[in-house]
Amino acid sequence: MGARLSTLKEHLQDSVQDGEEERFFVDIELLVLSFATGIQDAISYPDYHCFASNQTGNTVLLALAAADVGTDLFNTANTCLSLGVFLGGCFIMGQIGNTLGARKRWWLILTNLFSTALMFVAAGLQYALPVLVSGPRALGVITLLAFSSAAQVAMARPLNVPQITTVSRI
Amino acid sequence: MVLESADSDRYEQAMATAAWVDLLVDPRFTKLKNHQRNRRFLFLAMLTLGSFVGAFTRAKVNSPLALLLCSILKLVVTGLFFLNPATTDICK
Repeated sequence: MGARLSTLKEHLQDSVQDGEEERFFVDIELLVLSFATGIQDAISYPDYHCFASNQTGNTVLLALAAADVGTDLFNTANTCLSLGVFLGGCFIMGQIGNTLGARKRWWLILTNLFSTALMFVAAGLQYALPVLVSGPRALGVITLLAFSSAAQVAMARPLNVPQITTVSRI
Repeated sequence: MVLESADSDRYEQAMATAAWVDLLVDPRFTKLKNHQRNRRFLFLAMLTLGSFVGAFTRAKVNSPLALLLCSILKLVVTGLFFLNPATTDICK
């Protein structure tokens, strides 16, 4: 039992191979995450009139809001929050990863689990309460989704597969 | 920002638009063995497919189910990280 725990601990402490060294697991993982991002952004725009991960889209919407153009087509508060949370999340999760070891197996598992948990909570909130385009509930779900996306991107980048960023535009 | 070349990993723009461009202007586009092209194509295909799945799930059922599906996929990836090969001791 002790030996097994020790082996598991060593396994978790390993740094995993990046996309230049290994082409099977890394590719599959990032492609599945890309698929998940597609699902997420397909519901975030119609539900909250902003993107949760497509931050170029949000930046354009922000410029339109500043110019007071087409503001009935999107929600300015949601757009600003999504952009801010995403950028903050990238910084926080990226820098923590840099400090702790961005390709350590335990970090990849923990950060991805955290990102997944945020997504589950967002799904639970949407299921339990009616989806509203604006207001505190919308802001809460957007925060969860944008931070989850940021954690995912910050996790994926050190895996060194620039062809598969897992998000549509950053 | 400008791409250094379609072959370059280091100077690549991390955008889906750039991925489309890189895919189509790749000088090795027609080569049988071209892993970078395959990666770009699969990334764009998965992102697009995911968007369609999300859109139709929302239209036919509801958003929470789409987010639940998204969460489950992310959870699967979390489990897959247990299987990634480790770098050698020298690389560490």
